[in-house]
Amino acid sequence: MDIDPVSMLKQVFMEVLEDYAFMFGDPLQEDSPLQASNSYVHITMEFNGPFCGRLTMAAPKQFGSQVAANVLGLEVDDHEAEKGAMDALKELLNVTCGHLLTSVAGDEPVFDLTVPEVSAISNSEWEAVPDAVALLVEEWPVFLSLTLKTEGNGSECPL
Amino acid sequence: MALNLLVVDDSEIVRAVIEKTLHLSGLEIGELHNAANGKEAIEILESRWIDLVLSDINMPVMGGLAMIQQMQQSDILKTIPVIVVSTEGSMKRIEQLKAQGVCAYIRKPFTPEQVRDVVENVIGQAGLEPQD
Repeated sequence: MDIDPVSMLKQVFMEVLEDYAFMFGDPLQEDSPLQASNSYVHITMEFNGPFCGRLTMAAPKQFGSQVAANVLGLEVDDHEAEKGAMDALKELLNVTCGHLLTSVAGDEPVFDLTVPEVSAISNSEWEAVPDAVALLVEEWPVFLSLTLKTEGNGSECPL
Repeated sequence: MALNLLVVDDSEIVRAVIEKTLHLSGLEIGELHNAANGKEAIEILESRWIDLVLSDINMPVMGGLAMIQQMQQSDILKTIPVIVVSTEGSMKRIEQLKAQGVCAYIRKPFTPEQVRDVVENVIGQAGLEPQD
């Protein structure tokens, strides 16, 4: 694989975020101003094709409300935006995954994608995930992790 | 003649955006139904007259491809034009879908103009436009 999937993940996510939710992200720095959040949502989906793996996102639920509000053209405190927070985040990950696979593998290979699901990983477990992409989206921290399974031995290969 | 449409996607937000786009497109819309998966969509298709389906592929319970294949087994349902709205990017998969009878494809994320233009094109080709 000539393309670095992790670098591509950051680029693809930023592009999808802009096109889907009209939001812009930057790399998360140590001194980045953050919106406080009591709970993070962890969403996971898997893909199978010429190569297989898992894409995971962690973000505050309030970030999901903002995404839903932007997509639906509502105020962030609108009940429909709050209700659609999880849905918006799942769809954001779904679209990111599809575009990431095309960017990495080209437009010929066929991949089967699972439906995004909310996963049970805790915040402390997440912090232990190596090579997670950390972004700041309008003062919301968003973390992404791409894990590829190497062919043949079935072992996971975090990037 | 007002068109009866069916939007199939497990994301309520995506369904809402497509429905809003269709209402704003200027198309004469009769009934606008929605379903969260292929199974719900088939139930609607078997009980209502639907002129056009817009469907995602990757859904729980029954995905879009299985829904399309089931539609093809019915003499009536196989005549209904289907537009796939998906994150799918593989040209091979898109060709497979078209071989199964899919009329057109819109890749997510989409703009309202893309949905409007594709729907108008499919309606025109299917002969669903109102006759003067």
